[in-house]
Amino acid sequence: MSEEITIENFYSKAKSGKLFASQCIDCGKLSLPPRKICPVCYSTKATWRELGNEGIIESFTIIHVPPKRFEHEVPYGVCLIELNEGIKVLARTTMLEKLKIGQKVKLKIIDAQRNEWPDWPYFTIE
Amino acid sequence: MMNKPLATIVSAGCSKFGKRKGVMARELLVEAFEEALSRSKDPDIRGKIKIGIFGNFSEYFEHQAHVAPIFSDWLGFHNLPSVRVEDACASGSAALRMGILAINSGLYDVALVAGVEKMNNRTTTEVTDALMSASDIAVEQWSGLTFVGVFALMATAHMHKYGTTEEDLALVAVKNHRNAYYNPKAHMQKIITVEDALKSRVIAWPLKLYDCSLVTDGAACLILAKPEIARKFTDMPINIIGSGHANDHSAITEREDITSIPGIKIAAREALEQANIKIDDVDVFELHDCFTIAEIIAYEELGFTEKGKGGKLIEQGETDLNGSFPSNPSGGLKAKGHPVGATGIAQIYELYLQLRGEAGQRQVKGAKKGLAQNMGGSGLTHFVTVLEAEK
Repeated sequence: MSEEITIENFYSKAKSGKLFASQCIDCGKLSLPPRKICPVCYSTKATWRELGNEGIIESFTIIHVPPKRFEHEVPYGVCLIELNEGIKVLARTTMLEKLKIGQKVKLKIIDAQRNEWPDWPYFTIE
Repeated sequence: MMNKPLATIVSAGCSKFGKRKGVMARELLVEAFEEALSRSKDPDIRGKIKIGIFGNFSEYFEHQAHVAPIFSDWLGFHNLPSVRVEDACASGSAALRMGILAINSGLYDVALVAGVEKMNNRTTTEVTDALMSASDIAVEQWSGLTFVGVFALMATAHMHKYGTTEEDLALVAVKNHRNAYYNPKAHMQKIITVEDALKSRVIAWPLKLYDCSLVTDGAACLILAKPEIARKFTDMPINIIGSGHANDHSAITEREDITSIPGIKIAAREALEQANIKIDDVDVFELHDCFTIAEIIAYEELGFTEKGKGGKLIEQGETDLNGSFPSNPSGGLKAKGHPVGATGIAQIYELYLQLRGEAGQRQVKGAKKGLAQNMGGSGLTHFVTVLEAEK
């Protein structure tokens, strides 16, 4: 895994269906999105680490007044998920019945199919 | 032991807050500045001001960047060094902080600090988009999480973990609307009930319309001076005795506990230590109630009560005008309104009135010390300022 630790590389890896965090080589801290300078020990030695897709919902909201980009999806939920590896991601879903604190969920990555920047994929739940 | 003040507020002004159709940001500033000029006992205070520092969030609202020289030009200055500072909803406090640095460094004797936002040219969707730009594009924005949504995540978890209720959130709105009723400059002077709040439409569950601050046009300004010369301009100087500034991680996914906003505590500690006082010594508070849950979390971070008991505190009326921690006598962002860049300065304007005993029917009796807490983004930027009326 030689690619530079950048947000663009994180999202292009995610596009292929796999979630990678950065991991500090010195202290082991995981970061999402990935970052080069460790926020705990300030080391600049980091590497990519593949994550699983399982976690639990730590909190959620149901958005009724959306930004333009997501107008067609309302009402949609956004949940804060703590992955089994101990770091958190945000995921959007229209399966509102899944939204419960403590609920086990699987993260899924979908291509946003965009032709302009950012052409990053979206995170949702299965 | 009393420390020397960091700087002194010698005058202040605030525009009427509301949907100010027909005026631009610069004209709102003129309205605030005229009040500040009229309050000075030196008719030539304008000539003493040597720098202008302007808090303003988004060039999107008026499609106008590079605002600082335009603002100072419109205020009638020629060749005044001017700068804009931006820290989202804390832009006003960022301007104040820079003003304090300007005075306290000895570089300037008198400084103008101001904040303004003209938001109502845009639709709700456009305002939602603009505010959202204050959260991290690579995390919150990309997930579809709106700005209200960030605070809704905090509310859902706070309710789950501590038993805080939607009624508790509504009580914050009811209190702040009650206070704003007595503030002629407030955006909404309208008493509401818990039922009104609970049945208002959902914006980002569990937060409803009445849990959200208002989209407001407005401006406010302060004239700061070196403490030694303050009495040339006013007989009632208000001293800045503490100024705290803290930052947190850029994304909420990095925050250990979604029910806490730790930066508030850090900034408050710095400001109170400088002032050499404890939170119980403060008589009146202006808090950053961008959403009702934010005021409840602020109670906990500032130490009005234990973690998790903020909801109980509002139930007990402890933050009413006659409670132990009177909070948001102005009506807060909730009802006075939240013109993003102006808010930090408008909070100080309210404390200036309170500490001078000029707040009319919303006056906290005998208030001598005040504290303002202003936050930028989803809890990333924090300013806490402590003021005291000079004896």
